[in-house]
Amino acid sequence: MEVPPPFSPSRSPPNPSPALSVGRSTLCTSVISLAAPRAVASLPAALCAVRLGGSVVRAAAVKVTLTGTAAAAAMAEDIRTKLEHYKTAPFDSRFPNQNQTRNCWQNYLDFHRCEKAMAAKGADATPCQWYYRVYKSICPTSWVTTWDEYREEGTFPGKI
Amino acid sequence: MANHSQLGFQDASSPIMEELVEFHDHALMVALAICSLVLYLLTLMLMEKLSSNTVDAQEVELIWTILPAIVLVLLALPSLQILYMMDEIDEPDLTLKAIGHQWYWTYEYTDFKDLSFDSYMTPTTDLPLGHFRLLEVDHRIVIPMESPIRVIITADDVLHSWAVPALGVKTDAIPGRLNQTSFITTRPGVFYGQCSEICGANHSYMPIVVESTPLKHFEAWSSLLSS
Repeated sequence: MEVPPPFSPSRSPPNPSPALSVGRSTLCTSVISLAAPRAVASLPAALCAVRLGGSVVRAAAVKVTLTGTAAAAAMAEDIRTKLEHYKTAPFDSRFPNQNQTRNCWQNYLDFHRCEKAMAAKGADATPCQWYYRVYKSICPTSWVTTWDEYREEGTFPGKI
Repeated sequence: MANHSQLGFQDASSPIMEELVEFHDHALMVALAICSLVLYLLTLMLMEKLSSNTVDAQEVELIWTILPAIVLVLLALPSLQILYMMDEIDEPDLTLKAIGHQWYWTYEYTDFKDLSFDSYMTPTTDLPLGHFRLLEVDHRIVIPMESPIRVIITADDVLHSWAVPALGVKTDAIPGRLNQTSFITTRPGVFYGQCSEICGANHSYMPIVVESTPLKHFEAWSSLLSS
C-alpha cells in the first residue's frame, strides 16, 4: 500500500494523494488525517467534526472512497484556486501560539516530502506549492538557504 | 514618537493599544483611590482619631478582606479581557519578517516576491533638519493601514526585541526561534520604536520605524522595491 505524503490538517489542507476522495468538505480531511495520517487509504468511514462559528458540530459521516482521476482533478482545481487567492500563510491550528518555529520547519519538510513523493509517482506536483508558499511566507530566507545547502550536502537533519 | 519628558503613553494607533491605554487609566484610578484611602487613614491615625478599646474587630476584618477582593476583581476582569483579545485569531493580510542583527534589522516580505532590505539607524551627523535623533532609519517598514499584519520576529546573533509602543507591540527576537505577533494600524502614520533587549554596544542605536499607508501607496512602494 502506497503511503500518501503527510498533509496539513490546517484550515485549507491540500490533499496531494489522488487516490482518496473525502467528499466536498476539505475540513473533514483534517480530522481523518489526524486520525490515521499514514493509513488514510484504508479508512472505511469517519465522523467528521468541524468547527463552525466557534462550536464543534458533528457533520454527517463522511464516506471515504478510493476514486481515480475525477476526484484528483477536483482536488487539483481546489488547490489551484487556493494558490491563486493566496495572500499569506493562514492560521494553522497545529501552531496556535507565539512560537512559530515548528510551523516553518514543518512546511519546509512537507514541501520537500511532497515533491519527492509526487516525483516518485510521476504525478503533478502543483499541490505541493501550497507548502512552498507557506514556508516562504514564514521562514527567514537565511534559514531556507542554509537548509537547502544541507540538503545538497546530504547533512539535512530532517527526514525527507 | 515620545517627546522629551513625556510621562504618558504615545497616542494609540492600534485597537489593542487603545484598550491598553484605557485599562491603564482604569488601573491608575483604582491605585489613586487606594492611596487616597490609605493617606486618609494615616492622617486619622496620626491625629489619634482611630484609637479604640475594642478587642473584637469582626466587622472591620470583614470589610478589609472583602474590599481588597473586590478591587482585585475590578483589576483582573478587564486585564484578562485584553489578554484574550490579544490572542484572537485574525487572518493576516501580510506577513512581515523582522530579523535582528548587531546592530540593525532586516525586514523580509516574501508572500509573493523575495523582498528584503536592511534598516540601519540614520547617524546624527547625516540627519536632515527636523528629523528625530536616534529614531530615524534609512529604510522604513511600509505596511498597508487598517489591515491585520503578522510579524515573525527572530534574531541572527544575540537577543534583541522588536517594539513599537504606539502599536502596543513588543516581542523578543531570539536566535533559532520564530516569535509571532500581529497588529492592525487604525490610521496612516509613522510609528517609532527601539530595540528593547540589551544586545551590545549599539543596542540603543537600532531603531524600528513603521510607516502605515493606504493600500495603493503600499503597492506602489513594494513595486519599487521589487524593481
